[in-house]
Amino acid sequence: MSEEEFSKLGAWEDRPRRNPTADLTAVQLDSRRAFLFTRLDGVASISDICAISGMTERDALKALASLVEVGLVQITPATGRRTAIAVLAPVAPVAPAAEPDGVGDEDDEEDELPSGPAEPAPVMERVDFLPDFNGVDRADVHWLRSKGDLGHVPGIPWQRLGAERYGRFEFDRRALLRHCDLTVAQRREVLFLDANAGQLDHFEYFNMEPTADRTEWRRAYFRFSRQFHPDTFFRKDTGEFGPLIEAIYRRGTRIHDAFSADQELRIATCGPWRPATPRTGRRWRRPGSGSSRRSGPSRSGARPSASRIASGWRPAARALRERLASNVRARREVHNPANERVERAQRFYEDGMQQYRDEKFIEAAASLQLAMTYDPRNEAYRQAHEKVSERAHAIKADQLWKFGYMQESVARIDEAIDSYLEAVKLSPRPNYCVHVAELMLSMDRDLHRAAELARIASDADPRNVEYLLLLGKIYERVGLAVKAAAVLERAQKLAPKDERIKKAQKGLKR
Amino acid sequence: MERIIGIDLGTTNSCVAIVEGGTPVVLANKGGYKTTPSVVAISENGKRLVGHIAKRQAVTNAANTVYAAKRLMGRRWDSPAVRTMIETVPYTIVKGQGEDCRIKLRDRIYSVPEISSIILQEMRLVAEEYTGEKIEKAVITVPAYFNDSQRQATKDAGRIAGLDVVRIINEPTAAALAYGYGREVDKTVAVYDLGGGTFDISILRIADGVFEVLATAGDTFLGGEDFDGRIIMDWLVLEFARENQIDLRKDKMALQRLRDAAEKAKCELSTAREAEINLPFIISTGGADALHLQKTLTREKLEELTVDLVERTIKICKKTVEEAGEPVDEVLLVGGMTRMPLVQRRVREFFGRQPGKNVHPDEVVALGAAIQGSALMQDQQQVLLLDVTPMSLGIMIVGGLFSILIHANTTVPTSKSHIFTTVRDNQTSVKILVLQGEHEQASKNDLLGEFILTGLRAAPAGEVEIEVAFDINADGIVSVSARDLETGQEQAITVTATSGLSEDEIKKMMAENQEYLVDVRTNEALERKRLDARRAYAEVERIFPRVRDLLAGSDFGDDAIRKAEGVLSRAKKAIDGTDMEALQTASEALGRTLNMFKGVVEKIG
Repeated sequence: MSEEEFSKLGAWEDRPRRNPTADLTAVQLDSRRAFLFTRLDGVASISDICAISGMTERDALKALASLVEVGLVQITPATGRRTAIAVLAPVAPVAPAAEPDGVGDEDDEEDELPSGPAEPAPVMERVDFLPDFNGVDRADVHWLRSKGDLGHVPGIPWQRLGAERYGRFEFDRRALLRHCDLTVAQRREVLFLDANAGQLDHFEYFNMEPTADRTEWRRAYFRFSRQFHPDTFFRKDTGEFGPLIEAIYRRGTRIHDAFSADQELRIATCGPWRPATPRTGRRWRRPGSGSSRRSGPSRSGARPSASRIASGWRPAARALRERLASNVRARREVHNPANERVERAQRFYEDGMQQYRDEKFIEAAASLQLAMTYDPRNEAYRQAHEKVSERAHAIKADQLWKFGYMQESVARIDEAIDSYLEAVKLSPRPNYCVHVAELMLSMDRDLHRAAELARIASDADPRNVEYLLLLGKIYERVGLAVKAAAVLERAQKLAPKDERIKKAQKGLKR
Repeated sequence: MERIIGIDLGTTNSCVAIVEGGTPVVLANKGGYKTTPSVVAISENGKRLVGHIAKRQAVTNAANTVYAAKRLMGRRWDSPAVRTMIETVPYTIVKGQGEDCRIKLRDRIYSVPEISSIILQEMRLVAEEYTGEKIEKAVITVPAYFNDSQRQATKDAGRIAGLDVVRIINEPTAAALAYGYGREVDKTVAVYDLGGGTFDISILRIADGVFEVLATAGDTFLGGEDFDGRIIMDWLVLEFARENQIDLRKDKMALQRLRDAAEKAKCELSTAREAEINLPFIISTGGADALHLQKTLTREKLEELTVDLVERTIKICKKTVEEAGEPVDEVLLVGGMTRMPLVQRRVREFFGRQPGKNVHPDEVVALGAAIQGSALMQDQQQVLLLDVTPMSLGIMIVGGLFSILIHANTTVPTSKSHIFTTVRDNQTSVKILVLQGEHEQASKNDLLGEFILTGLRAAPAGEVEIEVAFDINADGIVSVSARDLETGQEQAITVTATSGLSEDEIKKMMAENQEYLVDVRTNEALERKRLDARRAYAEVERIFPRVRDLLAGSDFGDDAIRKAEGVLSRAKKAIDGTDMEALQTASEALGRTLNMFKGVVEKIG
């Protein structure tokens, strides 16, 4: 497999996501690809996917590429830095000559990728924060459930838990010493939760593992309630912590409601419940408790759902949980202020490119400038901006030049010169420079500037005698005789028979 | 430490409990009963009667005996529940000023909280008798499905009775508290509470001493009273009318007798297969003739009459269990009505398990209230209750529809906000109607309060955005605010549910009650003194003949005997009278005389 295959995938940072319109039933997925497919949530990047896939990078990419090929997966280009996918060749020796076109392709790829974003990437999907549970798609849940056991994914490293909970958070010393009945531990937790409410997700807020199941999060919620329920402080003086505690507990109940409201989660972790049929009146037990009852074959016949729960649902629940956890991560990314900036930059970039295509170069340049301010590290924006701004400057300069010319024709010399100078500043074309320098010379305005412009012109076109002659004249006028002589000498060398030069040299000697 | 009592203010019976050394105990009243009938009567001489005494005289004083006042609590005069009550009860219900209902007894009109306060007062006295201290704080229970104004009315009743109502908690929750208190429980428990007037079902998760309400629902107008009503109206009255062409409902005394008989028969049928209803001379047919009512009510007949009521409860259960979404490990039966075999059978069938027997259906609620009261007073709480809002809260939106912001069974405290827009062009103000209930039409729900947000920008419909935020605090108090997102202008109200009583009225009632309480207390003191004096009097009288014999003849003896005779006659007068001071001096004099007499007997005899 050549790198060419992977070029379709884009960069490591790009995000594969499921094609919502693709017909899943139409394609045959082997277990590897199916597994990989289930990992895609539109948020994890290609490198993430490879890392959790449990396959070699090459295999994972191969599977991914084939998924893209059959149209099940789409790739969303990343907005930030993109690193081209380069996979080490397999260990099997491959003669360099065996793939002659591989080299050429590589070059193309190198050219293409960094300057890539001619196609604007879509804006990141928004994930609703509260109260829906992490924006898990219902269809996904059903799909996951129908697939049964999907295996275990290594947990996500967790930062804000246990001993690490407070991390480097700096407590307000004075707040810790305020007069009230709270213990120091309570104060710490209150201050921490209050200050970090925006950054902590549901799981972190309750101080529980991201893979917590229903029982665990309920325990966590009970623990949380014991800490912060207003009744706990019924006879206590909460001082200035009172309003904070109230707000914290309120948020806690909302999180709890969000958890409880997720019927799918509830069913997945607990099994559905229905009242026992009156005829048998048999005691019904929860799955997970009393396994001895469940395992008996005669019993499983009486309650078919029990065996179903045992075989398929609980692993599915785990998969779901992991998805939830990754969604939590996604949401954290979305709500990261830095991400918001990136998103905004992306929007400006798209606007800019659209304007560019509409040939509104000046507006396009402005949009791209904004995109660059929001996301200064993005090379693509910078390049696009350079390209567009060149065009934009040329157009602007032309406009200014025309305006200047009009002013000159009605003898408003000062305005004309100002306009010309602006134009030259944006687009220093030699003929423009010479024109304005001549004008300034004849009108005796700011000769140093005129000299500068004439030099720019002559530097740009050093073999043009006219330019040198003009430069010489200006130098002479401002009294730089030596320089003027040097310039005229250069001019004479280029055109030894030019009368004007000789005349100028004579004038200079005098 | 201050003590908090727990009061179960029931429709037919009330009960009071307190936590004593970590153990909750139910307190018995003077008659030795642990529950007190929630009956209040005004006797012919204007005396207030409460509890068993009131219940006993109900037949002869039907028009001035209030029972089931709780069913009127916080209800509007024009509500269907009140209509039904007016038709069936023998006392007179009249319309109050604030659309609430009042009860007319003798020549005075009482508000419903006032009637309840009389019962609460009685419970308070029971507790004071038991503890020997003044009780000022209480946790009172209400049916879980009580709405805001009904809860407020209960609070007002507590205030009138001079109690600081620390917390209003739900009856089923209280029952679960009592069940889970002091033992290791890690279960999901369903509490089926069918009492005298209301039905509630709550599903709770109990673990680590935390009681989390998962779901709760109920019917505030479905209870034992309705079962009695079926026996009376659908059977006794109907049959009697068919046989004798006489409508017994016209006669208040007959109706009261029927009511007592029906209740008694219903209770008997919990254990027996059939019950006799024997009411001689139920009604006179003019002249000397009288008709008798004699019937046998079988359990089958009773079940046939009331099966639909039981089914109604099961239907509510089904909804609630789905809402809770957790398998139920244990079912608790609370309320006297759950003694009925039909109810037990249906509950067993529905939940697929035998209901737990280790709670006392009549007392468990009061115990739970007392536990909650004492838990609030502790530093390290043993139990923690996480309650929910029983009903949805929201506002009225265009088309008279009800838009819910906080759904039923949401854990409190909580807050929620939603953005609404204007619906008409150039609309410059919006009226926010805060409602409570489950019906999608706003008018079918209870109105909690309203306010107007003005000064909106004149703009096309849908352009001006208004954020409405709801907030419920731990005490269940709702506050609502509306904010114009453009101008930042804000209007807010704290919804203070009204029980129909104004603050002044409550103050007045409190003062009246205070007077009454002073009266009762002095009366009691007088009675005690009188008892003492009477005892001393009897003692003196007993020794007197012997002393007279011993002292006869001695010169100082005659004088002493004359003096003693004076003391005795004065004491007799004081004991018959009501003058506290006279009684005091008399009993002191009696004591002196007695001492002297005893000295004489010892020395000489």
